[in-house]
Amino acid sequence: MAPSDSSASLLFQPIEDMRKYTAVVGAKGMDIDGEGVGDAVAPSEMDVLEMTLRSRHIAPTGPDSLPCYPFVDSDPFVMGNDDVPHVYFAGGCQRFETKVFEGVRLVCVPNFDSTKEAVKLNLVTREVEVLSFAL
Amino acid sequence: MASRATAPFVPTWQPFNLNRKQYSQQYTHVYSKRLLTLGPIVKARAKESSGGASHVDRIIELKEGVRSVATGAIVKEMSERKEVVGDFSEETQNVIDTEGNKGTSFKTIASKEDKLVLEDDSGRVILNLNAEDIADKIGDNLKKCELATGVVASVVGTVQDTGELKVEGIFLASISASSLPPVVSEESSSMTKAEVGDVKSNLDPCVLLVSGLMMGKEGGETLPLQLLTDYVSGASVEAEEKQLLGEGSGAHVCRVILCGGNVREVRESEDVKSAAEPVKQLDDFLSQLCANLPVDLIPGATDPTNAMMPQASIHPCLLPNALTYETLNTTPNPYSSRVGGVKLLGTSGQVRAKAGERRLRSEG
Repeated sequence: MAPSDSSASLLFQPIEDMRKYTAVVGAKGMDIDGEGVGDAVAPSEMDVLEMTLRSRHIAPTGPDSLPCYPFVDSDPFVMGNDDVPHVYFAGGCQRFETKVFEGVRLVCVPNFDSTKEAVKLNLVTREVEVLSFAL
Repeated sequence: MASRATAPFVPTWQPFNLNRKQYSQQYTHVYSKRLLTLGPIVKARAKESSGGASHVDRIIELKEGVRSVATGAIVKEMSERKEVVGDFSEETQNVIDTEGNKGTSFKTIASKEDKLVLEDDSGRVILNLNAEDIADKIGDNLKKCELATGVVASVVGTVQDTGELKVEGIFLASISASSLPPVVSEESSSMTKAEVGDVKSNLDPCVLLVSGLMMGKEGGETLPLQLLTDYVSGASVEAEEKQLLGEGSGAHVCRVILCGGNVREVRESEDVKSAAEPVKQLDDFLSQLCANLPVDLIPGATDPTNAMMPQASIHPCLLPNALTYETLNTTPNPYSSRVGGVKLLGTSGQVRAKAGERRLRSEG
């Protein structure tokens, strides 16, 4: 199912193959189900990021709709009291967004490919700034 | 002599590295462990502020007409979500379509008719959720759409004669600013600022977050990437000392974190050579970055690693040139570390990015 770490040829397997396979075992593609239905009730990417922080779980929809390893001993995606971060970010976003929720800096990191933007995080103040590399 | 800003770095992503991979287990363990860890936290929060409602340990103990608090995992039943086996070929086609830009048959599978169910190991109860009823009264101010399957919650309400639980308030585990762990001060104080000769930069050490480079994508521009490399390496500014340390210079950037989507998606029909090309380009790009400063490489949905969360780090043998630099860290997804005493946690955003994508497509 997951390619072994030590085999490069397996790593090159097209990702669609793996998705088909996860579909068979019960997960469906890489999407979160149940978000977004037109503007009225659709949360933004930031809403979803905040929701995962508030539910203290990095990937709540796994294993339901997000392929996820069948953990037995513990769920490492749970944020325990000592695991709450100072900065919580998510890549692959449509656009840059940031906010502070209960002292935690949340950052939606935009896709460089479409926005030509990167996010600079100050380690002292935990302020963020977006840098554009577009011409 | 010029020097870059530095910050002590402690990797804490080890829990996301799976040493033993077995796939024979069932998924029920995932939910029961989650409920076991988060359940007590949400219960404690609900107890503080639910005002006199009786607390039931298990959902099956809920009684009709008695105002009570129950704890469990949310299940979102979506009428438009197809059963796994029936339409899986069509679903797979849709997944490919998003990358191939062929048609936009994608449509959102959430709808206003979705039902929310609270479930634990004893039973389940349908939640009757009315936004006006729960707004700001007790618990967290939540919209129905903000709750997703798998979220652990405590629900305050009364079971109706229909068997549904009329919800007054919902509590999530949540966090509070007062309980936030402190920044590790010895690590924070040993950060150094960039300097040229005796001139010290007035800018604090920074981390640069970059996502979705999509190496090897057709029609992708190389110039913005070059500008990014130049900025980080300090080549984009004049050699004058002040400018070297000013806003236009990347000398105060002490680390780059690449948050997934590093290479474009490889299609099934491609031959090995063209499928390897994006990774080669990533290797070249990383070599330039790593020659200058530490880089953390988080894999994402399109990167050459496993598709399941947690994703294993991209194998260094795929990056033969960048591998020669000690500054390269290939990390799992999710990513967790401490930089300059500040705890960072992040993912490459499979969960969130796709939610946005679906919305956009349903609008178009």
